[in-house]
Amino acid sequence: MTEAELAREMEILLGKDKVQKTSAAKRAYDCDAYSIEKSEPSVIVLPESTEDVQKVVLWCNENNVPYTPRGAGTGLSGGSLAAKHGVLISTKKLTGIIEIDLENRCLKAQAGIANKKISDAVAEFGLHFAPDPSSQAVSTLGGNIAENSGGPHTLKYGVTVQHILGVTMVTPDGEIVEFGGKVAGCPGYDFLSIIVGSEGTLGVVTEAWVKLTPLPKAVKTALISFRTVRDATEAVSAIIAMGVSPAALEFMDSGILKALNAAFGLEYPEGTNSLLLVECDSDSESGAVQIVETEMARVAMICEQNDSIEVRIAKDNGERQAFWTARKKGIGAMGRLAPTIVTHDGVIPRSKLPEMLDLVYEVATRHQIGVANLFHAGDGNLHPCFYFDDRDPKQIEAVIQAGEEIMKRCIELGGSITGEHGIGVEKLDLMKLQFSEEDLIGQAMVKQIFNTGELCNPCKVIPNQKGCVEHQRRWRGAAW
Amino acid sequence: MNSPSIVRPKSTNELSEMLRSTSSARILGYWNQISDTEVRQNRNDPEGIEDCSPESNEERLRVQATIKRCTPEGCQNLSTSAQNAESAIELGAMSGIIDFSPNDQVVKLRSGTTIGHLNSELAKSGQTIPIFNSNNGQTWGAWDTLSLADCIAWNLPHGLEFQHGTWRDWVLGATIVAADGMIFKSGSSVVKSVAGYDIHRLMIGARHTLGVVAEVTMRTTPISTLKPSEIEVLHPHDIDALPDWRIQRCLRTDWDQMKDGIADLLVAIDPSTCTAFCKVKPTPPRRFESDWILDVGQSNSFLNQATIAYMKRAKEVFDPAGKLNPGEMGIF
Repeated sequence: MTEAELAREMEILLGKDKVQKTSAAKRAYDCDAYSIEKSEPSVIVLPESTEDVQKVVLWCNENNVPYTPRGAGTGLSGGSLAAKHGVLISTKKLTGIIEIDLENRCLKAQAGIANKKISDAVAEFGLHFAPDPSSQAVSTLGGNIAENSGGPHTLKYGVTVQHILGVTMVTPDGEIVEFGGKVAGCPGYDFLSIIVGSEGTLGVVTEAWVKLTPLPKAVKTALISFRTVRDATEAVSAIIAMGVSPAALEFMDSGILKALNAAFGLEYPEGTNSLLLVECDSDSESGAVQIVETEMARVAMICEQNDSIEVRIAKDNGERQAFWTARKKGIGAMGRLAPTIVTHDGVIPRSKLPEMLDLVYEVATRHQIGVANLFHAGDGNLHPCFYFDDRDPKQIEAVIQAGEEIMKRCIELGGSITGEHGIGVEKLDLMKLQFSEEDLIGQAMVKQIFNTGELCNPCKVIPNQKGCVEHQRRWRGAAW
Repeated sequence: MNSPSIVRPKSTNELSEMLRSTSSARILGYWNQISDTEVRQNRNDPEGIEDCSPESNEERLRVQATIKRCTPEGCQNLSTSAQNAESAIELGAMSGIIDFSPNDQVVKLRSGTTIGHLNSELAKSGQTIPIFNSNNGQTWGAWDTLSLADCIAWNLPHGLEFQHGTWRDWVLGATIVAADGMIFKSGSSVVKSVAGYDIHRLMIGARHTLGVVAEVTMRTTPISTLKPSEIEVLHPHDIDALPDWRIQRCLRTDWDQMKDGIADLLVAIDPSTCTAFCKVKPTPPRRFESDWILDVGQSNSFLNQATIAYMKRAKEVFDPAGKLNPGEMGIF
């Protein structure tokens, strides 16, 4: 079947206004935010309902055409890449809120709604949807479910799986099924736990019930500066070890500070080589302010014991937002340092942060490439950013080797090859670093429960799938 | 069906060997114990002259421990069948902490470890598994005698779920023995990972019917941060006896109505999660929108159709011969 015929079939199925087939559209959808690997879909469909999605899946099954679900395309591992072309199912028109149940603190929405729109819809009632990936202004509920997204505040509030009560999904067989509901913790096999984080390989989630969490009644945010990276990372380990539970605990090093200074003119005390952004909050009905002040005082004390230069606590909401701007714009500001930035995503036990950061700098120095670090320190979730010039093949090779050394060390320390970006096509090859052959058989068995074919989001998560060789090792390591 | 052998593997490899060599296995646990008849048979007291009714859960566990003998010469056979399973496997000998990093608040342990032992070890470093608030001298029944395998097999609701999360939130990774003996792991040893499907979470609440969880890595909580529980124990004695509970959870908007309707059966209530723990099963139970019911220790008949259909598919993939805990889920 030609691409034109496929597009015509989709138009008959859904109507012309729900189909995009121009070469410009295909180019726009040829990758997500992991832009190193590209693969154009044959056609893009924009369903408006679960039933629309079901029609597409049934048609694809009947005609042996692969299909790939996609949200806003902010994923960082190629999870929504149309790896074998075929139909790209965009949730762009599935943006409605279906029901808000304030008394039971839950909300049902379609999968294409932007994460932040959920929180905006219930903010006036003192509630929010807690997962807060940096892309939350645009990244979708469905995408967050697919990737089990995290964010700075997941240190306290947990990742997406902890906030999803139920889903409506079109299975690879084309059935519409619902798992879970408005009440958490239902008996029987916990399919929600594997659907959330399955990167869209077990079916297309079209709607979900999410948990609404009370907004904190008091918040304190501090920027804490240190002379050395080791002082800051040792302070992080000490904060966690002392049993203090901040809502967010983020790290930035001098590479990031230099970029932020160049981009936004942000300034820090003389001698600062690393910063911690710490936020403490409380939703306690009584004494929230006192709780937060006590917690922040403990954080400040621990940081002072670890030779901090300055503990700067935001005086008002404006200053608090400025602190967060530094954290959230950090990666963007990196663009000023070099033509190409590669952000890695690995996790280590939090107590190993000091030695791991030493290794990151040592590796970068040895390979003669630039590195900057900003990451979720409280979770031990590293994001070393290598900056280099990809027009120089030697630099690419150096970045690949450096990335490999860092990921291997993460695994040696008992960590993970990805804390929040997912496997997608990017890290397929790395699954073998973390998992044995038997472990991967177990993974394949889970997929078999829902997806016995090769059409639903092919070539993701599990390495060595049939017909997916070209998606392995093509860009091995370049974007780890 | 021949009488079952009761075996006590001491390691994941031994468990694997046992599953490899048996055609069906009942995984013993607090809610899947050997019967009084089996106790009598093992005591060579087929007439039941001796009274073997345990007076407490500790006694029950001691009885279990004494009769599960596996020597180099082989395992002792009992003369009654256990839910038509060839073997009965008790995980109590697979006990103990493998690794604990208080600074990372992560512990790795064997699944037969009791909650009591685990929490007493963790407490030495100011950490705990937060199922009740020991700061207030609060305990909840005989939970200390439950093994971790019991708790995660049933995904057991507990007294601090609203405040500190569920088993699903704490379990970071697991080593699992499949029905055919294959040993595999899922997850990691760190507090955040999205590498691969979370099979360790699928095992929570699966009552060992998809695989036997041999080792668990889970996050711990500083005792100093424990929040007060809202649980109200109405009948402390019944909580201590850990009866066959019917646990029902409903929406906040239905809570008063549900609670009032079963007032005479309640053992404990947790208003923070709208969960009722009942001593006696009211029959038939009154249902509410979106509620769920867990009859602890009983095959479950309160599952929705989609869940049942996909549970059958999962069973077909993970345990096609129906080897693990036959009859346990009540649907296969």
